[in-house]
Amino acid sequence: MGGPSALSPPRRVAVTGCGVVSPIGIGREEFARAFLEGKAGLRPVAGDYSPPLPCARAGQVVDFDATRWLGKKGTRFLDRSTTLAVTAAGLALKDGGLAVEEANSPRVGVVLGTAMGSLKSISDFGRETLLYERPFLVNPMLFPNTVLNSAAGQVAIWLKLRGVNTTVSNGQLSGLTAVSYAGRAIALEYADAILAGGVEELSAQLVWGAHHAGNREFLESAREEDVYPGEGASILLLEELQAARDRARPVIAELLGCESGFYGRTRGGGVTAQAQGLAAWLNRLMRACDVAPEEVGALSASCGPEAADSVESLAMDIVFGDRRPARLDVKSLIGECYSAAGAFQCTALLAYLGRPGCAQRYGLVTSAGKDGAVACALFKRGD
Amino acid sequence: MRRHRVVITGLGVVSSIGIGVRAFCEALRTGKSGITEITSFDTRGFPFRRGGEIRGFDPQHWIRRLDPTSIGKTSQLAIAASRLALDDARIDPADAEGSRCGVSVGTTDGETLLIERFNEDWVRHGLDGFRGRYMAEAPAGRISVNVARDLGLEGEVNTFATACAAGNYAIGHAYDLVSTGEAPFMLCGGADSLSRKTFAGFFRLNAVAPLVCQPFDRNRQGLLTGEGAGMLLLERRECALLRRARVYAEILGYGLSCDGVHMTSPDRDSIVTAMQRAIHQAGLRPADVSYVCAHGTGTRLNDLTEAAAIHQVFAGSPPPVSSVKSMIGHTMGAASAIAASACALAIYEGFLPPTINSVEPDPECALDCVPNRARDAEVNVAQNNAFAFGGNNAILMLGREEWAARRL
Repeated sequence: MGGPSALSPPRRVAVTGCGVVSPIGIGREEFARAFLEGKAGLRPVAGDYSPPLPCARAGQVVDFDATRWLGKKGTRFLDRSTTLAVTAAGLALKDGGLAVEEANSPRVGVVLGTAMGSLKSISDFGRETLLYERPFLVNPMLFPNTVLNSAAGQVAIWLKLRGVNTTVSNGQLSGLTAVSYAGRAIALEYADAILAGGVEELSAQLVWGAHHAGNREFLESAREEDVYPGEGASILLLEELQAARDRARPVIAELLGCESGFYGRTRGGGVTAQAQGLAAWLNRLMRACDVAPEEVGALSASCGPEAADSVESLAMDIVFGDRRPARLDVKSLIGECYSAAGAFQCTALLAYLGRPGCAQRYGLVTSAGKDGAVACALFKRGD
Repeated sequence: MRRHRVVITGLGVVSSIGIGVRAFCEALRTGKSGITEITSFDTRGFPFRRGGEIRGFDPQHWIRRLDPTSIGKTSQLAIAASRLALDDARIDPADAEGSRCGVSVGTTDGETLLIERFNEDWVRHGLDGFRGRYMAEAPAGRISVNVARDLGLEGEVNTFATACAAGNYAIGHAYDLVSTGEAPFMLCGGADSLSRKTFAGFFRLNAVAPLVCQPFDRNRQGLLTGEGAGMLLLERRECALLRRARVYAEILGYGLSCDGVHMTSPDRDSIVTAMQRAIHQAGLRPADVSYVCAHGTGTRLNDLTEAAAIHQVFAGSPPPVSSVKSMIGHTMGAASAIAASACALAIYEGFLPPTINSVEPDPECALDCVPNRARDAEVNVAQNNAFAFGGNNAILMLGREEWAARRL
């Protein structure tokens, strides 16, 4: 959306609600307060794991009781990533005050990013086929949980959303590309409102899987020794801007545009090429939206600020020189939330732009995968 | 909003009935079956053991820059199909390298074989007792990334995990990027590998047939799982005309909807909505549709729901409806991409792919399923249906380029 296209202007896209279930709080306001205060969500790992997890600390959502949010009925066979997603989606709808009824339901959708689905559900199910003498004696009620679009499908069922329903799976970029896809779907009139974001569920399988992978391609972090896994769900309610104004909802922000590209074809020296690629997209995005670099107040990054040689640090040098905007680092508070990371970065940026007395109106979100992919989004604070 | 017109100029198919578009087209015309005894995973303990498995696929032959042993099988299939599509479009790989050509691939299970390997290692050695570097390749997003890496592309890379409708989602997204001018070219489609997990899951749902897949037939016994990849090269019509490319078909539009009712049972009304959206977005009337390439899994529930939705949309007089799954089984995320390739061939070559294994057409479906033999026909507009777990419906509309051009 908003790309360097000379075609007629697409519909504009507003953020009118946020739903968050995170290690530092549940709900938009609680999360925003905790983020701005710099509340630490990384704690010693809670729960008994055998073998113990290969990390001392994690960003767990320790006090999350799905039945408190969703009721007892119908939750028995849902996995954790699904309950996290359904809860966050419900909170986003409520935050935006959007009532979904028979009439608008076909125009309200869901777009979720997930890198691996619920790896726990998938591998528990697969493991059962290896343990039973008759391999098909798996629980059929659990089979739908093994498909990667399970969480998005359940969000649609629970909230009665019959519009565009899409699951994107782009590793580290999943959360941000979900927001981008949703923005385009609204701009192209495929839907009028979309719940968009990401979800990640912390499990022994995921943490060990990432450990085996060498933390290279999944559960990424700028400094490998500091990979603390996190979990949660962050979901934005995106709406066509005029529709949001017509129903007199406060516009939290406008999503001005998103871009992405891939710079993973070269081996070695990849970081430089990737940083240059990201910088080029940031410049194009700002130019297309008529925003000057000095107008950007904050950049919500996927890597921590300490990594001076990270893709995002290098890209910021190229784009902003020594007039850098504030760099927001939600990961150091909640851990590496992988599929949900980009969506948490969006929510963190909106919290920053929305804080009392904030003078800046524009903010960027960037996501850089170890695979060479980059994505960015530009937001403008609402009035 | 005005959009560029988008055409298909290259097809790459890796399937159990043929690798490469010529072999695949010939197989569609002759109604070949790709169903055999499954050998790629241990079927001991299962009473039924058949599926659409790809034989004679040599990843070394297709994968140039990457080490084939370092990536998952689904990536291998997707890379092979992408190279075939590029070659079919007569684009020199050297020209594609470094370009902003994007990649958009749909999948149901991603690199499911790597996760199965993880499960086996876990059972045998415990989560901490083995070396599992291969898990770096387990996330589904690696499929599109690996296509871009092997071909040296720099455009937007997306993997869609919308289960068995994912191929149509991926093609629809590519159509959006090309038609809005955001991408000059897109390689798009779907890929999946046969897996024990999926086989066991469908088996447990009593959805797997013992021997053959018989969509829209009274004797149907269920679906057969399969594997494969279908990749299409999309570009702007004016670019294709400028470089005198062969145009198989034009993408006219697509429609998405979600049931929001049940995770595994299809919903007629929602499918009708998706079809109507697709037809509307394409600027068509139902009567314009010459052929429907069905989701057609061969389960009773799918057949009856899909047939009812088709009758509703086409007001009781539907065009011929056939199912490629009768030949290759249900190739999951690849299914609608391979079916879209079949639609493009149907349009370009002028024939209807058959529904094989047809013995006694089900009167409850009341469809012309093009039984057993392909039929010569002028196909101006083909509608490609895909439904999925999660209630995800995606319908893609393809048209004959000359016909679509005349319409304007």
